[in-house]
Amino acid sequence: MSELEPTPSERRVDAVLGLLRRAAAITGGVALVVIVAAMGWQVFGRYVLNATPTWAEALAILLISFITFLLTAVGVAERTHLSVDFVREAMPTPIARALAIVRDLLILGFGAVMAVQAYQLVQFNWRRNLPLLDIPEGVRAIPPTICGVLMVVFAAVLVWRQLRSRPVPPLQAPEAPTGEGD
Amino acid sequence: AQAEWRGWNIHVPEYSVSQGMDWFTDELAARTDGRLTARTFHSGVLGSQPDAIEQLRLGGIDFAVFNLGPMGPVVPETNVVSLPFVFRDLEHSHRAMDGALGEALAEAMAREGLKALAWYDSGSRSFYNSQRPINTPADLRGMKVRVMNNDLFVGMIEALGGNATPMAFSEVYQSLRTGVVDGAENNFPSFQSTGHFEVAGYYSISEHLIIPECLCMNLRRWNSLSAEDQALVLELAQASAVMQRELWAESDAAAMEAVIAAGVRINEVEDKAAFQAAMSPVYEMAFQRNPELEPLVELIQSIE
Amino acid sequence: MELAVLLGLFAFCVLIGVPVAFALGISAVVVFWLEGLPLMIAFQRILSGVSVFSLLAIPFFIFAGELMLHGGIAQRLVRLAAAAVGHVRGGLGTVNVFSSMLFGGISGSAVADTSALGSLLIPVMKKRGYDADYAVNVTVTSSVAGILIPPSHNMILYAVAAGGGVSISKLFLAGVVPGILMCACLALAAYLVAIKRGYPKEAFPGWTALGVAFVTAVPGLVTAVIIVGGVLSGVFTVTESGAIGCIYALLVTTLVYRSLSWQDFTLAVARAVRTTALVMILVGCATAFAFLLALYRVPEQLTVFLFAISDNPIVILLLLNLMLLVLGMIMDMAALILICTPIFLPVAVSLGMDPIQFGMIMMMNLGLGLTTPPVGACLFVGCAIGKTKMEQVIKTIWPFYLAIFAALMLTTYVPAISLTLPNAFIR
Ligand code: NA
Ligand code: NA
Repeated sequence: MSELEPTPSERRVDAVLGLLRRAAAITGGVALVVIVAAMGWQVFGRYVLNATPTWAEALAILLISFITFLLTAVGVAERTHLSVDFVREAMPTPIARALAIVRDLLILGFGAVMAVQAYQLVQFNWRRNLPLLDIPEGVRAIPPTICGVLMVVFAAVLVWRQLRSRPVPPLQAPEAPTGEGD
Repeated sequence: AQAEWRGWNIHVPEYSVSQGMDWFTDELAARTDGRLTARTFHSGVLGSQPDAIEQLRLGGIDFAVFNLGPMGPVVPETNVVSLPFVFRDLEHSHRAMDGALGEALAEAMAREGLKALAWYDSGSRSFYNSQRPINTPADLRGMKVRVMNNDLFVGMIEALGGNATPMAFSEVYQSLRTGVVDGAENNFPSFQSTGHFEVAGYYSISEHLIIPECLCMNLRRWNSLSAEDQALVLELAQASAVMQRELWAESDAAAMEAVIAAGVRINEVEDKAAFQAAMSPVYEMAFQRNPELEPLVELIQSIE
Repeated sequence: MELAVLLGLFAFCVLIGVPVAFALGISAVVVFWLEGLPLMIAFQRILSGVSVFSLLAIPFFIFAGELMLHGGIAQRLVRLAAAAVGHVRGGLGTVNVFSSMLFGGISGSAVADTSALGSLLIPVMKKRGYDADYAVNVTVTSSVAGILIPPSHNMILYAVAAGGGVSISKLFLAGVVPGILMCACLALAAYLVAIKRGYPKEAFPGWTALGVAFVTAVPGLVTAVIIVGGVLSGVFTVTESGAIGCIYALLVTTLVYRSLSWQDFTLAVARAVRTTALVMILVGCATAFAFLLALYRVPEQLTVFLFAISDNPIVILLLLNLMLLVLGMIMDMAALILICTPIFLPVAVSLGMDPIQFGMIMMMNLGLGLTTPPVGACLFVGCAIGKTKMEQVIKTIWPFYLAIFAALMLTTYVPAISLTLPNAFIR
C-alpha cells in the first residue's frame, strides 16, 4: 500500500504533525542544554563563589520531566520506543495487521488517560509551591499532560491511516551518519 | 473498597516508628476481632513522603506516619515546627504537641483531608562536621553544610554564615568523606546508622530542629468509622505514640553511646541564645510567606 | 487475581508490540482501576519515577557519548587501539575489543558503543578481508563492556531500582574488573577464531606512531578521567560529573579537535534527548508497575518460592542467572533492571550476596541479552551496520557468548572480582 501517494489533505496533516514533533524535540533539546549549564553552574558556585545555587538541582529535575515526556510523545510518532515486534510479525498478515491497530489503539488510550489524570494532578497541586523554586508544584504535571495529548494525536493519525490502508507518515528520527572510518 | 487498610512508612521494619505502627495495626485487629485490619508497607516501597502525602489525601493509602517537615508545602501551619530553635527541648515539644499546638495543627491538616491521630518523635537534630566543635554561630562561618531541601533550613545556615548545600541524602556520606561538604545535621540514630560519624568527628548538640512525626489517616476513611471505632483507633494510636517515644529515647541513647565509643567528640552548645538571635531573618521570611505561623510561634512560646 | 491481570496484560501488550514502557503503564493503570486506587496515583508514580536526582546523570552520560562520537573523540580512541594492539593475528578483532574498553569508559551504554564503534570499525574490517559475521560478532559482544566499565547509566538505573541504598560510586568502581575480565575473555575468543579463519595482522606502526596516537587521544581519554576520577575523589557528585563531562567534551571537540560543527552539535542534542526519553519513560512506567508489585508483595513471595525449590545458594544463584538470561533474550535491558531488581535483589541479599556484586551479575547477564535474538538491541544495530542477516551472525557467535558466559560465572561465584576495588577505595 505504501506506493500510494499521500493526498493533499494527508500532506497537510503530516506537515502539522512534523511541526508538533519538531517543537517538542527542540523544547527538549533546549532543556537538556539548560540542565547541563545549570549543573555546571552549581559546581562553579560551590567551588568558586562559595555559594551553592540552591535552585539548580530543583530546576534540573523539573526540566528532565519536560525532556522525558515531550520526547516520549515524539517517540510515538517516530516509532522509536523499544518494543518486541517479532511475535506479531510472525502472524498471518491479516492478524498481524489487526494487532498492529490494536497496539496503536492501546497507545492512544494510554495517552488519553495520561492527559486527563496528569491534568488533574496539575490542578490538585496548583496551590502549593515546589520547594526551592517559587512556582506551583502543579507545573511538574504539565509535561505528562502535554505528552498525553500529543500521544493521542500521533497515535490517532497512525490508526486512521492503517484503517484506511493509507501510507503512514514516514517520520524518522535523526540518524547518525554511518560514514567509513579512517 | 478494599478490606485491609494500607499504611505507608519510610523507615525499615526495625525502626521505632515502624514498631509503633506495627503495634497499632496488631492491636487494632486484635481488639476488633479482625473486623478492622491494616498492613503497613515499610521502607518507603510505595513512594517518597511527598508522594505518600498525596496518596493519603487521594485515598490510595489509608494511614501513614509522616515527618512534619515535608508536610509544610501541603499544610503551611505545620511549617512552625520547621522553624529552627522553636522548641526549647524535646520535653517542651511533647507538651506542645500533646496540647494546644497539636490541636491547632490537627485542625489545619483536616482541611487538607488528613486526620491527625497521634504525634511520634524523631528526636532533635544537631550539627555535625569534620572540622571543629561548634559552640558559637561564628564556628559555622564559611562551612559547607548539607541541609534538607527546604528554604527555611537553607535560610538557617545562611543566617549563621555557613554555605547551605541542599543535597540528596544518599550523597552525603561520600561528600563528607571527600570534603564536598564539611558538615550536615541530624539526630544521633541517623548520624550513627548512616555511618556519617566515621567521616564527621564532631557532633555539637544544638537541638536546632525538633520536628515531630504524625500518625495520620485519610479523613474520609476516618469519617466512615463509627464513633466507637473512632475512639478505639484514637486510643490505640496515642498508646502507640507513647510506646514509640520510649523506643526512640532508647535508640537515641544507644546511638549516642556508640558514636562516643567510636571516637566522635560531642559537645553541648551552651549558648543557644546566640543562635536563636541569629534566626530572626529566618522567622521573618517564614512569617512573610505564611502569616498564620506568627500566632503559632507565640502559642509555643506561651507553653511552659 | 489482580496480580495475574497485571502480569497477563503486560505480557499481552509486549507480545503484540506495544512499546515496553507503555505496556508497563497500561497494565499498571488497568490494575489501579480494578483495585479502586485513584488513577492519579498511577501517574504520580510515573512522574515521580522520572523526577529522581540520581537519574539526571543518565542524559548527561548519553549526551557526552553523542558529543564524543560526533566530535571525533571516538575515532581517535579507535586509532589508539589500532596502534597498540593491531599487530596481533586477527588484529582488528582485538582492536575492536580494546576500543570498546576505552570507549566504554566514556559512553554509558552498550547500544551507543555498538553504533559508534561499529560504524567506524565494521566497514574497515570488511575491507581488510574479515568476514562480516565475525566483524559484527566482535563489535556486538564487546560493546557489553560499555555497561560494566564506568560510567554506566544502567548501573544508575540499578541503584535507583534497588531503592537508593546502593552507592553509585561503588557500583562504578565495581564494574572495572569484571569489565576488563570480560574483554580479556572476548579478546581471547576473537584471537582464536581469527587464527582458525586465518585473518591477517596489521603491521606494528612503531612506537612513535603509537605515541602520537596516544597523545591525540589523551584529551578524549581525559573525559573518562574527569567523570570517574571526579566521582571517586568526591570533587563532584555522580550527577555533576556527568554535566562536567559534557561541558568538557564540548570544549575539547570545539576548541582542541575543532571537529564539532553546529550541525554535529544539534544532532548530538537531538539524539541525546530521544535516547533519554526512551530510558526515562521506562523508568517512570516501571515505577508505577513496581508500586503494584510491592502492594502484592511479589518480592517476598518469590523469595519464599525459590527457597522452597532449594536452599543451596549455588543452585539459587544459577536459577536467578537463568531467569535473567531468558528474560534478557526477550526483553530490553533497562526495563528488566527496573522490574527485576526489586524482586531478585532481596533473594540475592538473603543468600548473603553483596548488592554491588549482584549488580555486576545483573549487568553482565542482561548485557548478554542485548546480543542475543530474538530481542537484542546491540545485535540489531550491529547487523544493520554490517549489512548482514541476523541468522548468519548467530551461527558463528557462540565462541563470544561462551566468553561472556565464562566471565559471568566467574563474577557470580567469585565475589572478590567485583568487590575488591570498591571496598578498597570506598568505605
Ligand atoms: Na561505560
Ligand atoms: Na536479547
